[in-house]
Amino acid sequence: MPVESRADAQRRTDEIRAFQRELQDLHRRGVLLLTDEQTRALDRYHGDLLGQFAQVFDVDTDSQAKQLSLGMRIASLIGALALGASVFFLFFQIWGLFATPVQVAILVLAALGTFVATLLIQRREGSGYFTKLAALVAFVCFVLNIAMLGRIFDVTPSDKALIPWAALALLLAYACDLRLLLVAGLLCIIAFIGSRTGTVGGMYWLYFGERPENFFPAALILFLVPQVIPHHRFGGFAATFRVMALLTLFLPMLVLANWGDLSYLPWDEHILKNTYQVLGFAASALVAWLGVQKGWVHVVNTGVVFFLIFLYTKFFDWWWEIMPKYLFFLVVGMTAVLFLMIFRRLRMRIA
Amino acid sequence: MKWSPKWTAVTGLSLIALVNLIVLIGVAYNRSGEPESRLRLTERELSVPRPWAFQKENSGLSLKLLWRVRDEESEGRAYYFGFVSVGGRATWLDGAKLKELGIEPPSSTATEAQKRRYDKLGAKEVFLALEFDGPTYRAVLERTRETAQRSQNEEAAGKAQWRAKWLRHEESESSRLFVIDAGLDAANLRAKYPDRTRYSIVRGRVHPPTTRYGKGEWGRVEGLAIDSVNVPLEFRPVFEGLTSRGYYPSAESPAGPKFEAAVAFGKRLEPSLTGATRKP
Repeated sequence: MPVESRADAQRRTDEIRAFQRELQDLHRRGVLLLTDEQTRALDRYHGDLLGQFAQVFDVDTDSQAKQLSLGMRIASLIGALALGASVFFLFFQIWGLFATPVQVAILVLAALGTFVATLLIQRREGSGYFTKLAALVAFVCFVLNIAMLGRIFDVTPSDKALIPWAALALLLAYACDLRLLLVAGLLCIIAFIGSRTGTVGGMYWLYFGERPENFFPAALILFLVPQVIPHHRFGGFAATFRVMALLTLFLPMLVLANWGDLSYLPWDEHILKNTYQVLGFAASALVAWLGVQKGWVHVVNTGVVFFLIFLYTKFFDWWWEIMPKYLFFLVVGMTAVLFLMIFRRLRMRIA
Repeated sequence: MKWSPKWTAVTGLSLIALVNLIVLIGVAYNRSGEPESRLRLTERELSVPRPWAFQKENSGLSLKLLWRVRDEESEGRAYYFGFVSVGGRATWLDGAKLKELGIEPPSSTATEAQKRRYDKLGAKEVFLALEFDGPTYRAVLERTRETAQRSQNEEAAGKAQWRAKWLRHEESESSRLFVIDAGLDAANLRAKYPDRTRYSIVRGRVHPPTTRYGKGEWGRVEGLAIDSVNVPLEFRPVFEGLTSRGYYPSAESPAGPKFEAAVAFGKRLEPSLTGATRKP
């Protein structure tokens, strides 16, 4: 099986480690006894593979390294967001001190320079932590570049700016295997499709968030992308597409289930709220079922979480005012227990 | 063909360069040749925006266009828009004008569903006509004078004082920039208001009135597409010490410098500051 990405290498490393542990156990129990020559050949083969993976992709070779990696991932995410904010505020603090040509030069060179720096860092580093930092800064610099040009020259705001922002974020995401940049790119795409849907619906593009239904086409498109374009080479990308798509579907649905007046539809608000509540239940249950069928754990989890949120908001509407609080929370707790039992039976049936 | 790091570099750099080029070409086009209109505004029409969370860390300066809409019901008071997105309505934005703008108000026999559909119409992008120091301002000023005069004779002393203060404000401090008309075609609006030193055509938004609460007659001007003008470094000294303006007459005259600034609206109707001088 070809190993093309860090995610593939990490998965292969985990498989080899699990195989080695199982082989040791079988050997101890006397179930499978390999000759010394076979053991040496196997150890040599696995040693070479793990060495290659560690050198090329900087994978975690044991559980302690994995735990440390999680910490590094979190630090890298926080660092990336903070550095992005820092760049934004730095420019804000100094841009007024320069003449217009210098302002433009700083903005363009910052965008170009941070992009090149990201690619150079990626070449030197296999783990991706510093690449993620640099890539987010490059993305922020480009966003700042276009947004500030608009401000310096008083250009009419346009949703078209979202297209190049999305393009650069996706380029960095796919080139450097970075899910954070994928999320940034998808947010731009969601905003663009949402604004275009709003424009078709007769709205001013910047107000597309006022009608949550504007997000539904984006949700559908994002959910279908990993079905049409295979993402095997990019670990977790397909899952990110689906989870973002489901958030883009369920969050607006949740808003409409509580504030039906925000809908495009000219129905009575009460009818709208009930309609979206029913749709929310049905869609989240359907999504959870689809996730089980396809073996998409992230889809199952997202579906279940939103099903519970829809249910609990309904409980709140029905009973918060009229029930004693101990009883309200008891009902919520008992519902959770009921769900656990249902899921246990479901899991047993699947197994 | 396999995607290589070289292709990533070429694609990314080209993307950044191309997008910058497109934006700058657009800017050059807007500012090329004779501007579509040029207004000579003063501290009455331009103000620094109200301070917000990170404003004190912003070294740049943009001046907010203080535009108004005449409201016949307000007894001549100056309703400012752009500072706050709510307020009085534009009496010229009536049913006929809304129809002209492609917004069909519901008939008297409209069903509840039709009224709800209408109420859900959002802001519509249109072209707006801005009038500077023209008949609308003079009409508002005249009305304020009449109200002040009437109140001097009839009303309680406190109210009369307030009217007099309002008149002073209207005469020497308040903005003379009014949104007076809207249309779907910039050329038609320009033909209607040919004086390019008094009338500017800009992009903006109007909002149809709601049928609820009995306020179904006049729409409101919601905002300009660009409601501020960036101040380049060379003009910054002119505006040193300029502070944000309030909506209502203050006890003292507004602090800060008096100035005259030339704001040109280019081929894409986008504004730019082309000159600024201090006034004594």
